[in-house]
Amino acid sequence: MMLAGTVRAIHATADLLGDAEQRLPAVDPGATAFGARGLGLLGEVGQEAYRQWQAALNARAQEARAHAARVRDLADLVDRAAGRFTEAHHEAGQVHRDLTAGEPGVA
Amino acid sequence: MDALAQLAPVAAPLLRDVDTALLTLGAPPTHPVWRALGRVGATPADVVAFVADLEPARLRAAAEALRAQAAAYEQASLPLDAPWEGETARYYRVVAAAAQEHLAGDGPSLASRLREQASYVERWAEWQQGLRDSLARVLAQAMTSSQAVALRSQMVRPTEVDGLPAAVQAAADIAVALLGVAEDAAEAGRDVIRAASGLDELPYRENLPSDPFASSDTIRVD
Repeated sequence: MMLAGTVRAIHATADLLGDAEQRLPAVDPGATAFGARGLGLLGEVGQEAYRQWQAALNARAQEARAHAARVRDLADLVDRAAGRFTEAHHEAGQVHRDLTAGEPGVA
Repeated sequence: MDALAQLAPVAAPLLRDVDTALLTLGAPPTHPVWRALGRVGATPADVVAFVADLEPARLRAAAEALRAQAAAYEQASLPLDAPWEGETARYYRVVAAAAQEHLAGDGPSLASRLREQASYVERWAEWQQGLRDSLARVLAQAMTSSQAVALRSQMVRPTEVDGLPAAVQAAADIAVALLGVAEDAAEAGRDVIRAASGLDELPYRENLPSDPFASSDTIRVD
């Protein structure tokens, strides 16, 4: 896989994580689904369950956000490597052209 | 439609009678219904209405969505090999492997955290269904019990006092049976809460070499 393909694949993973961060809150079925609006003892249990669920869902979104940033850093690393390669390639080409121009016997 | 969804509307008149009897006639002083009412904090009719409104399918749908997201993480693949050579490439391989492991590796990963949370919400769906089923069983027994007959007879002839003590006892008996289901379920629910694990944020364990761009490097692209 060439550098551009590597970068594309990394960005696809970063986008997947970014989308997950956006979509995860919509997975929440809401407090009522956990019975958190109920009266008395069962309502208290529902509230605790919902608090635990919400904290966990926030953790999942935070994990996705943080890892998307890490993966984007990885893409940046490859970009910088590609930049160095392009620069080195350009310099090598220039040296070659200079050498070629300085050799009168070469057609 | 489960048993409770079918029974709850049919049981509504009996439950109204139970609540009315408790409210207007009270209960025998030593009857366990007093303690049950204090602990549950709701009347039998309220408990049945609340449980009848629970929809475990909504929680199962959330579990399914989390598992789908976990599968998407597992299918994503970061290129682990660098198509160039040198220190930067070695650095890339280490970072990419760590990132892939964190995303969906064999150990704790973002994918496994999603699956654990899916299991957690599914346990609540099971808890809700268990509560519905238990309540339906007790409700069915109550509806066909001698206590139900005694209570209904008194409620349709409120001026006849002969049956009053039996009706008071009957309402308390039915109530304590229904409230007992709520108490047991609450205890089981607390167990689910206590047993929850793997829900906290997964820390990223970074053990990376130093930045390769700090030094010069030889680059060769395949």
